[in-house]
Amino acid sequence: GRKRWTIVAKADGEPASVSASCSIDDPASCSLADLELMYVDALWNYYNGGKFTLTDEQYDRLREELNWQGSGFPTLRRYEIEFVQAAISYSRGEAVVDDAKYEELKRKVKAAGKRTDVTALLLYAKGKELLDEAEFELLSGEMKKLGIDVGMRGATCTLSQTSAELSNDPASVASMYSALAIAPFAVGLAPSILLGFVGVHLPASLSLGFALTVCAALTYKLVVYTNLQNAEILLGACPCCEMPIKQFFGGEAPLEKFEHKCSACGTVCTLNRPQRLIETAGGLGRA
Amino acid sequence: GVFAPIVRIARDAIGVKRFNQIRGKAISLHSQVIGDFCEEFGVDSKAKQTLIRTAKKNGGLLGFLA
Repeated sequence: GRKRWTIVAKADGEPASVSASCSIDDPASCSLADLELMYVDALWNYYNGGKFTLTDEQYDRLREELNWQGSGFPTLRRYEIEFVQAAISYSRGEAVVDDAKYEELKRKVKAAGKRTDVTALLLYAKGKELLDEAEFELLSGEMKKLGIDVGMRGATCTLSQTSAELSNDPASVASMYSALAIAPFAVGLAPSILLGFVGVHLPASLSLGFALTVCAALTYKLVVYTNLQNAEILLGACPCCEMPIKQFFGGEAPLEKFEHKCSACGTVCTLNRPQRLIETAGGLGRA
Repeated sequence: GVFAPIVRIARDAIGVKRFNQIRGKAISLHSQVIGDFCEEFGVDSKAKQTLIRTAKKNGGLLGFLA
């Protein structure tokens, strides 16, 4: 399967980097995050030094794979690269463009709506690489005023193409109730076992019948007592980092909606049980 | 609780310190099973806390915590 390397996992301060096992000659060995960073580096080098670090063939293959993986990066625009360069140089105190030009770039990026997430990733990737901590904080603060949340999470959310649907998993529900039935079944078997010790051997069918009856009754009581009845276990994928979502709904009055927080990237999604939908998540509004 | 006499006999037999160690270990294993169960079936943390509180209440009622 596809190698999963969640770019978000690097969000805690460590600069983003392409994983070692990824090779441009075999894009399938790379995760979406690897491909995006390679693409950013290639364009950055081109716009900065005029030198292109990829062959045309590699570049085309990279772009095609990015398209296949549903990334918005292949449509990266020159002004976005220029804006990121200007923002980074401003943070270093070495303005490379005059104020008027910088304002114009800012206006373009702000007007680009959701594409700001692509810029956010650029700023993050290059900012972490080229700036020290203080300068990076300055950059982040400046960008926040523009409504650009510099970081992986925002961008990755925009670029992930996941289904908003949730599906019930009856197998998990069955195994959950089976797990709960273990203790009651043992209780149901206990009389037959104890009688066996004192030499009284009941027919197997009688022992088993008794054990199953006791097991069913006790399990039902246990399920209701622990408020695990009416169970539905809904499966989906986090719209931000594609981590699997598994959410239990149940009890006397199962919730209609549940605020699920992704354990990997922290994105909060609203899960709609009746409609089996991931309604809203992070910066994405699906309603 | 129905198991209180057994708990007292066991404590007297093996000593309070050793008994409390064993009981503590049993309680933590039980909570761990509840945690693993909840993680396996997607039960959220609030419901998990409720289950653990219920287990603690029952432990008291049955006399395990005597």
